[in-house]
Amino acid sequence: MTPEARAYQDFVGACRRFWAGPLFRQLRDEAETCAENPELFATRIAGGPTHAYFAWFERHLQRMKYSGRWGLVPVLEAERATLAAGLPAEGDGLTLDPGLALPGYWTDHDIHQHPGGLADEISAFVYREATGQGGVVGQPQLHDRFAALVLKDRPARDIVDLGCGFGRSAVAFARAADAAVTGIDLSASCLRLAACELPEALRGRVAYRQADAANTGLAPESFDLVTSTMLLHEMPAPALEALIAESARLLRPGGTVAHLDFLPPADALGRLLYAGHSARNNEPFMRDLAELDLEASFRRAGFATLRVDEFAERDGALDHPRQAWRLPWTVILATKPLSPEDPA
Amino acid sequence: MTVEAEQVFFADPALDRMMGVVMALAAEVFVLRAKIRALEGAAPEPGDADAFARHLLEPVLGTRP
Ligand SMILES: C[S@@+](CC[C@H](N)C(=O)[O-])C[C@H]1O[C@@H](n2cnc3c(N)ncnc32)[C@H](O)[C@@H]1O
Repeated sequence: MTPEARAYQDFVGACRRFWAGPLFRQLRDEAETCAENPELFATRIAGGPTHAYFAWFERHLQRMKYSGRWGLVPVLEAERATLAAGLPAEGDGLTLDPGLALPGYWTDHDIHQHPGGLADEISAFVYREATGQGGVVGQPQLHDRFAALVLKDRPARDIVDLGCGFGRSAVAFARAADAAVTGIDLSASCLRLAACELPEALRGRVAYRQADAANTGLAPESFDLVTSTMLLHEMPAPALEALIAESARLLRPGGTVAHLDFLPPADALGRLLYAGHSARNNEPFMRDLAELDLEASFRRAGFATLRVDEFAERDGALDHPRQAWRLPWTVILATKPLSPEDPA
Repeated sequence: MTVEAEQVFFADPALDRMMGVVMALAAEVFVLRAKIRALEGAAPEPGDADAFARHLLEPVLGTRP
C-alpha cells in the first residue's frame, strides 16, 4: 500500500471512530429524551438530522474504505499478481472444490459494500485489511473471548467452524482447545489465505475445506462442537433452516452448537440502528436472522436446550449507557440430546 | 449495465451528494498533510488522524462548544 493510500485509510478509520463515538453519543442522548414516546422518537430521532448524519457516515465511510481512488479494492488490485502468488494451492490441510455451486445470496450481494464480495481470488486480502489487526474492527479479543466462553465446561475433540473466513475464528478455537478444527467456507480466497497464515504450531490440527455450511458433505455425527462467527446473518431464512439441520446432523449426541452473531437489541434506538446497519452495510439477510423463530427452528432440528445471551466483545462492552456504537453481539447455544428420547 | 441509485438519508438528496464531495475533499487534505509531514521529515504524530476527524466533523453534532 502506498503512503497516500495508508494516509487515506487512516483518515477513513478516524472518521469512523468519530462516527461510532461522539456522533453515536449525541444520537443516544437525543434518543434518551423521547425514549417513552414512540411518536416523538419517530419524528425527532429517526427523522432528525443527527440520525441522518449517523446513517450517512455509516454508509459512506464504508464505501470510502472499499471503493474510490484509495479504496481497498483498487489499491490491492494494483498488487494482485504478488498477492495471488503468495496463496497456496490445495494440499497441506486445504481442500478446495472448484465445482462447488455458490449460492446466489452469496454471489449477488456486495456484502459489507465489498465490491464483488469474497469470490475474487484476492478478495480475502481486501477483507482482512478491512477488518483491521487481530479481529473485527477495533475488537482484537473477540474471537478468543468467544472460544473461551464456549469451551469452558464443554470439552471438544472435534470442532467445525462454519463460515470460517480467513481463519480467525477457527484459529481461536484451535488455540483454546486441544482439538482438531475444520474450517468451512464458500470463499476459496479466504480459505487459501487461512491456510497460508495458519500458525506453525497448529499445523496438522486445523484443516480448511471449501463447502456450503448448509450442506457440508462432512461425515454425520463427527463433531462435538459446531460453531460459527458472523455467519448466520449473511444467510437467508431457508439457508438458515438448512444450516441448523446440518449442524444437528454433524453433531455427536450430547454435542453443542455455538453461534456468535447479531440479534436486534430491545431498545428503540438499538432496533433502528440494527435495521439501518443491515441496509447500509449491504447485509440484507440480517433481518432474516432477526425474524427467525430460533426456538422453533432449533427444536424442529432436534435440539434440546437453547440459550441466547448478549456477548461482551471486550470488558465493559455491555455497560449502560453505551459509550460507543457496537454491533449487538449475541451467543446462540444449543445442545443435541444424548438420545432422541432424552430431550434434556 | 444498470447503475443503482445510492441510498438517501437527508430530507434533500442534494445534501447526500454534497456530503460526498465534502468528504472527498477532506480526505485529499489529510493525504496532502501526511505527504507534507513526510517531506518535512516529521514523524507521524499519534492521534493526528483522530484530531483531524474531530475538527472536521464536530459541526455535525449541532452543539455549542
Ligand atoms: C463475516 S465473515 C466471518 C468470518 C470468520 N468467521 C471470522 O469471524 O472472521 C462470514 C463468512 O461466511 C462465509 N459464508 C457465507 N455464507 C456461507 C455458506 N453458506 N457456507 C459457508 N460459508 C459461508 C463468507 O464467505 C465469509 O467468509
